[in-house]
Amino acid sequence: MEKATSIALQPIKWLKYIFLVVQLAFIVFIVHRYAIENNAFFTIMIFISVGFMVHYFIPIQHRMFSFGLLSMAGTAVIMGWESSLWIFSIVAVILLICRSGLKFSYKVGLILAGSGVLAVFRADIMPFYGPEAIWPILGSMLMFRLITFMYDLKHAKKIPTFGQSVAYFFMLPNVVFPLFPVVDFTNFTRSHYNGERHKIYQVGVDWITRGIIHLLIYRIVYYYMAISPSDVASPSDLMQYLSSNFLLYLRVSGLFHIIVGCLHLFGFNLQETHHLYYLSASFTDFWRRINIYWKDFMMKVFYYPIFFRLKSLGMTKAIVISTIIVFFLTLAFHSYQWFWLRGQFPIIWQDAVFWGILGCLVIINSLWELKKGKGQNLAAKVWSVKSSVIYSTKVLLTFTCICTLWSLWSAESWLGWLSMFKVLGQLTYSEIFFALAIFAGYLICGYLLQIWTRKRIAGGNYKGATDRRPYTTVCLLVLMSVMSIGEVYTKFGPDIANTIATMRAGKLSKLDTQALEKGYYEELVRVNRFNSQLWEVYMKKPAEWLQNPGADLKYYTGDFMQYELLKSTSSSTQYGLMTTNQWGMRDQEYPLTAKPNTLRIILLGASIETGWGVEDDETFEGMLESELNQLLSKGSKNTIEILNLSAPGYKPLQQLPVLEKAQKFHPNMIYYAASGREMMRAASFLQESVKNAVDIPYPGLRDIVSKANITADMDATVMEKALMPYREELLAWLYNELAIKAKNMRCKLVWFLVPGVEGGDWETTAEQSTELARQAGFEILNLHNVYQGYTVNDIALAEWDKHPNKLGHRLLMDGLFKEITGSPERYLGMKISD
Amino acid sequence: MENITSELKAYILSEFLPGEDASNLEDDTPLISSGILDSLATLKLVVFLEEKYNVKIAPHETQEEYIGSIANIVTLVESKLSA
Repeated sequence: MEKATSIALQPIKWLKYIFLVVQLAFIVFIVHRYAIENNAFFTIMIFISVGFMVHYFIPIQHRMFSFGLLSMAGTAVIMGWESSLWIFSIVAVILLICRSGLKFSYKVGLILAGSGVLAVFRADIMPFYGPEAIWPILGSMLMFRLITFMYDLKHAKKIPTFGQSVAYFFMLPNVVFPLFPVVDFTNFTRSHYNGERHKIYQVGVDWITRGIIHLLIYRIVYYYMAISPSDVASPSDLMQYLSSNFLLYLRVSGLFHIIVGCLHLFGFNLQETHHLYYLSASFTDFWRRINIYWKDFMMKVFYYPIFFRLKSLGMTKAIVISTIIVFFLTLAFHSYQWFWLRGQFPIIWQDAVFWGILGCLVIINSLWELKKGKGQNLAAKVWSVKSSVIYSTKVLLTFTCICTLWSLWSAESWLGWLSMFKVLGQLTYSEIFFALAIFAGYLICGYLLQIWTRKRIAGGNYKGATDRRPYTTVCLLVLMSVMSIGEVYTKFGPDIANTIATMRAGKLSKLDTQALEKGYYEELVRVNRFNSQLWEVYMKKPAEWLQNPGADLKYYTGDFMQYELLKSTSSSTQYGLMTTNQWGMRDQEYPLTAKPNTLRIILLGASIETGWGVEDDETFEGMLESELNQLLSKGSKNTIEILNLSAPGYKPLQQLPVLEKAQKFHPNMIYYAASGREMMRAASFLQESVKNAVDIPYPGLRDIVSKANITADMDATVMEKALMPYREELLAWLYNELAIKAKNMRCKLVWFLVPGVEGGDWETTAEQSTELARQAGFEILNLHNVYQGYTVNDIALAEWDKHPNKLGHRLLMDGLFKEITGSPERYLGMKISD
Repeated sequence: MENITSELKAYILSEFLPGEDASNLEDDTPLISSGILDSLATLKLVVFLEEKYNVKIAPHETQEEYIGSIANIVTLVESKLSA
């Protein structure tokens, strides 16, 4: 009571208030300048900052409820009224049940029944007539919080207030972060203004800043360090692969720091969610430091109750069985969480292996600690050289083991993962010596750091809001703000400028972009890792995105081409009709033989050229044909026909049989539309063909397969790696074959690259492809700046689908029209006017 | 009460803080947030309390509210003994 009174009387301190507001203004600026997360987060950060400015003056007895109202308002602002009304109504029903006078077991029964109904809708077993967008957020609000809320309700001495319940379930900034820490209800309510408020607020600002720094470092890892298993060609690549996988977790720790930091701004003096987890000195230590809220949730709701039931078996047995059950539940909850966020319940061997091995390691470590103790003390530790070396070595070994385990978790296949370790056989003496020198340097740095800090970093001895001065935070905020200004960071040379420009870009990495592209045509994309940003992109993607239920457009040919479009088909998509002609082209009807004075062009391409995501009359090919003919009609007897032989998902090698098929139309010109990653896509198709034992009708290709020594029984990663050195040769072979065929058909060949809607690594690889096309004798048509002046949001179909939209197609058409009419003899082999 | 306090303090010092100066461990020293009581230590402490004072501790009483400090533990044990 005394404490509550003293807190209630905490005076307004204008200087501290202004100081906090200024820091928040810096944070909002940084969030904007570095595009932290998404636009919704920027909006909610402004909302939180303004909310804090008002909240500061609200009497303490109303602060919990007002935070609840603010959280609901935030939900409405981000989700819109329809979605938020659905969310409010569902949560209201649940709260009514929880707070009713029913017996606890009846409440649990009703909640389980209600959750079952929601799960039926979430799994699409029954149609849900509300907005789909509510599921990830509603799931995030309820999936774990309801469990801890019910647990505390059972053991609470008094029923929580309505304000506490509302504040707990709607908790800002949950509406923009579906991946949210499992905040414990008791800690949430008990920590509310349990200390001097300005200190609590300052910790909030500190942690938001720390979270932003985690996210910026994550971006560097994400863009520059993360590589695929097939890129691992040397021991240093292996180190990079192993460490980058684990370092990508910085994103989760960064987001959780920001989330809990935001809660501090409203008086919730919660503990850290992560504590120096890269410095764990054992597996139990790691389990205690990484995602502390999860560990506490599992301990409180499952581990202790199970242990108490089993303790008659003896301490050791009870600990072992309880730990096994907790890790099994963690594995199951991973899929449960995925179900609410994505609507699928994945059961994946990598998860089972990861949690199984980590569980075993934690059990062994726990039993060791049970026997030997942890050896800790309260006073600042004095480090000897020996204790420092032992501790630092333990940290390094734990880090290495977790990195290895983490990489297995992220691996596509067991054999592919194992194959990476073959590179260790390439270790030279100089590399070993270099590694030892780094290790010695690490030990020295560790010792100096330990002396400097003079306190343990092994025990997780966080004490809540501290008295430390916020100078570091202020300096970091100012530094990040200044360095976000182009005029400043460009003064530090191209390397730093590029790094900061990368840090400011909130786009997908090379690996995720490739996975996204792969996902347009394949359902088997593994986006079940929270490490990758791709899962968030997919979370927003509507389930029926560009699907034609019951009307698949593909006709499987059973040969090397694999498939073509169905003939004379029309199907309705959300973008309008997709119609194919009698020849299986998404195009108007053409006779087999062209009329006199007709220049016939064959267009070879993939999904963009087919017009994925636009209506029949909005494809750049259709518009270009029409515009060219309109121009020709003014001064020439000639007409132009562009026969679109593209199909979604076609890769470069498939264009060979397509061209063979096109001979019957007696074309005059071949237009080859290239994508950014020609070499990779060509190799990927050859790999698929070998894997699926498809007959390869081209001796040149069979020769490459034989040189790369790939066979159908090989693991995908191993095949990819084996083909890597032959990618350039493969594409060169393809372009030469196309040139030979075109020559035999007496056709002229034009090659043009359809640029991506946003920059990326495709630009670098495109240069190589262009050069190969030039060497093979193609005329090169440049569309490089076709999207200039437009942002990706203007020209892409959606965040999860980077095909050009209607405007994008119009720009492509304009670019092609300008180039072709600028040099008609080069690109059409004729003059425009007679 | 003083008896329980001193017995508890002695137990915590010997089991979880070997070699620690007794004056550093006070009745209100945070045991959970400071890392002295992790999950294993909590289980050991529970077994100790149940055996030493012949009381029954419930799973939800392993939370900070009940065992967050020596003073809290003493209150918990006393409430069990007087019940």
